[in-house]
Amino acid sequence: MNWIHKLYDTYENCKSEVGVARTDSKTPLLPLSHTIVNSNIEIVVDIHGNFRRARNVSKSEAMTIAPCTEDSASRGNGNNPHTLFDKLQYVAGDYTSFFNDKRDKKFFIEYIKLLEAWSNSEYKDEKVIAVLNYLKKERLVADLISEKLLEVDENSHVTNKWFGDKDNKPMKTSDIFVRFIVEIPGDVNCRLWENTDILRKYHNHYLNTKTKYGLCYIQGNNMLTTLKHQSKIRGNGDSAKLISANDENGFTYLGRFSDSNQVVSIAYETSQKAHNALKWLVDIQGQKFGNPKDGQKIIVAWGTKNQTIPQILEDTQGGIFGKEETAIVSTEKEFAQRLNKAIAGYGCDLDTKAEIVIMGLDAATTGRLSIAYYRELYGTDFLNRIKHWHSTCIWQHSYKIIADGFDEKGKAKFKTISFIGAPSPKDIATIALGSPRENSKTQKKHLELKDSLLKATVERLLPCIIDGAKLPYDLVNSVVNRVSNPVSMEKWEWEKALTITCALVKKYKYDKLKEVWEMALDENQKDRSYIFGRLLAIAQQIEEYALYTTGEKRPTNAERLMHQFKLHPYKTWGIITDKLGPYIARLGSKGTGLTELMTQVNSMIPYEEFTSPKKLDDSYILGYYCQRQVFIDEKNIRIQANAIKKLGQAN
Amino acid sequence: MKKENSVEFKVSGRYALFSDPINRIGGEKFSYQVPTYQALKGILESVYWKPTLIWIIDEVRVMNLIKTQSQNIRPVNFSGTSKGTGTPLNTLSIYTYLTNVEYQVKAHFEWNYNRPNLEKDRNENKHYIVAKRMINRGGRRDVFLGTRECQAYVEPCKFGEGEGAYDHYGSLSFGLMFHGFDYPDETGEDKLTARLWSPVMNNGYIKFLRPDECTIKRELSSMKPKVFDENNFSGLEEFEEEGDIIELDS
Repeated sequence: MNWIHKLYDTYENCKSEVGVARTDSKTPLLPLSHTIVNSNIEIVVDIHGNFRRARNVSKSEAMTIAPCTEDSASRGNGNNPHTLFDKLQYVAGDYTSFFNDKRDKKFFIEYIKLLEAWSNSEYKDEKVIAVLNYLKKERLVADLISEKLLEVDENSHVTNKWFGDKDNKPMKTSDIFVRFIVEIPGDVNCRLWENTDILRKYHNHYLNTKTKYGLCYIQGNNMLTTLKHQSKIRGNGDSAKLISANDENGFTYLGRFSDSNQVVSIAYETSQKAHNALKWLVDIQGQKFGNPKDGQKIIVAWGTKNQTIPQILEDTQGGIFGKEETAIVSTEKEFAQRLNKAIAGYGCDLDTKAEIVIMGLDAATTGRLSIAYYRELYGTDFLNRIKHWHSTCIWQHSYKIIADGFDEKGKAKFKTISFIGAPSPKDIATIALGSPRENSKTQKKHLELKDSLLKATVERLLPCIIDGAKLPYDLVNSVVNRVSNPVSMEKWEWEKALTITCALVKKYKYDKLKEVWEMALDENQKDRSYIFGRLLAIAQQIEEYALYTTGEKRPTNAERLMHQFKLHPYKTWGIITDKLGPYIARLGSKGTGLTELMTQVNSMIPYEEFTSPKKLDDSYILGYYCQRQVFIDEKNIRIQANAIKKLGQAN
Repeated sequence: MKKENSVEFKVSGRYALFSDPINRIGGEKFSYQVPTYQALKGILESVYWKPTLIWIIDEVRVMNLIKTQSQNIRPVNFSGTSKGTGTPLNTLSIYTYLTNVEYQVKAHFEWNYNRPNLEKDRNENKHYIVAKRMINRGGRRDVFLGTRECQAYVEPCKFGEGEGAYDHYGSLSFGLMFHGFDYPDETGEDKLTARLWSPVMNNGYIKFLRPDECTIKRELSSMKPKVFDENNFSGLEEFEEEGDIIELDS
């Protein structure tokens, strides 16, 4: 089925969410013929249209659902008022006498015309009439001044001083957005923007004002059509539209057709529902890439009945396990059990008939939004594919930073956690293709990825997750090369790159050769590159240990020559062992264990293989990691044992 | 029509773009998941067509998994030229193509009774045999899948032969989709009409509605049929008994 129909279905299925304010300050699912605005001032009138009071609205409660017309929803500089709540220039009849700018009274006249049309229709509402009666007195600005919400200078012009919440300050006082409350004693439904009765009445009234019927290309019925479709899909500042027709001279649609109306016709209701649903989904669960200013790429996945689904572009920890308590999982088997459990948890909601849609939105220009990726999957199908990714592209990572409550001063605290799972596409892209940037203050380097490259790479990784496609080799190759050059990066970032590389190599080997590489050291592994990798880790350990005994701190030869070692293992190994001599001598008897291990591992490679000029395969990084991890684990155990011993002595 | 004049062929290509009009109107082309009736008819007309006949597409079989790929495109913007050099300006778009497609198509032809001047050309065997031969040769004109840049290749095949990706998939519906245009030379009415329908794919097969069976239609504009006469159609004389026999070598 096509995308717009799926969005329409989603809206229909989620009708209970329409107009319900959310606790997380995200956009609610909007009712038809309404838009979302930020109000600055709230005016209370009684049922006869007498002014009661007014107050400033704080940022947290500023979100207001406002009745609009197709013209006002997409308005620019023209005179296109919303129907009930709007800026001062529209709602205030005395605007011209207090503001010294070019705006004249025609804005007010146009606005009142719309409001009167509603109040005279069969869908009128007494509260709206009360607002109309008040506004017709044309003394709104004067009332705000007497309430001390605005200030006038000596020429009795309103100044730019703002008395309300600083976070909710309008650009200028003339841009103040006003909403209304109509108080009737004993009536709790006084806030007009939350009154579902009024919202519905307005929509019916608005439909009544429309006259143009046509075939809806989505529903196949003769319905009221629209030529204007919504923008602001990716957020409030976004002017790109999914459906638009503005090329009146070129050959975008001209040719067989002589005007845009002939190409397609879409019902007003269909368009509104589909766009509202998409906006809502993008805001609550869309994943955004890139800077909002240059246009973000959005990937949004949803169930058409708004079921909970895993986040597809997060690492396993954040995307699948979500907020559940992070139990320490150290083996692959435990991880598999946990993944199965988590997937089964989602499976309760997503049966075979559940429909999952994954949509990627991107814009090449500011005005038009494009669907760059689109898939429809059944619930179980979707979960199986997600599970496949999160069970094949895995390694033990230790870079994830998560929020860890608040400290005494109320500042957010963070901690680094270790997890087994798949890295997020963003991390993969940054490690693979990022370029080093130096922070001018701290002189520390980190990898940074250009937005355009990030967007493109995420798009390439998406099929690997959703469609089970093979990992692109250039990414694998790129991370292996990067991690083979440890001296180019900060230690923490290199560690991160190392585990991500291992995950990618593991995944690639599985995709291409159906080989399963373990995360733990495999002492019987005969693979040439793997053994060479182990040797490198041992050489590094010997040197690091020797440096540690004398308190020195510098990169080891193994680290510096890693890339050379990958290209010419035999030749470079000679150099490394040569340089290792003094360190072995320095360690003396402490180093015998390590040197013995080195000889033992070395003897596992047949002579011809050992001396061969062939460069190392990507699997060397796995051997390197696993051997190194053994040393790290041993060290941690030693430290723990020492701590316990110390404690024992202290007692 | 005495015998069934049904032809079968396979059409494949690296890319295909059967634009959804909803996105097409703004210039960001986005492909339907399966070919439209009109696109397949156009492919067959590129292979072989005469104004004497109308191709009717009976059925299509989707052979490969439906996969999409988006590409950034730099189309020419015809509304102006750059001030310095006078070259046309460009705009930017993202097109979404289907990738690696293969379809098996079954179709037949019927006479176009709105062209009485070609009555003598209604030789079923001749057209049938030429059509078969043209499918064998890969078509008379070049063939494309939906959009001009998606080059395609036509080969003869046995409809239903081989293994398809959706053989055991069950049914899949695509919502309301464009079916094709009613052109004045085929309907006899001086107007252009768009037809829509809701296709359902069963195990990879989509049985098309005949154009005259489509109920959801939208009249777009008035249009006159193209006239084929001695000025633009050299074959007319061939039908006259006294006409010169056109020798192949002359």
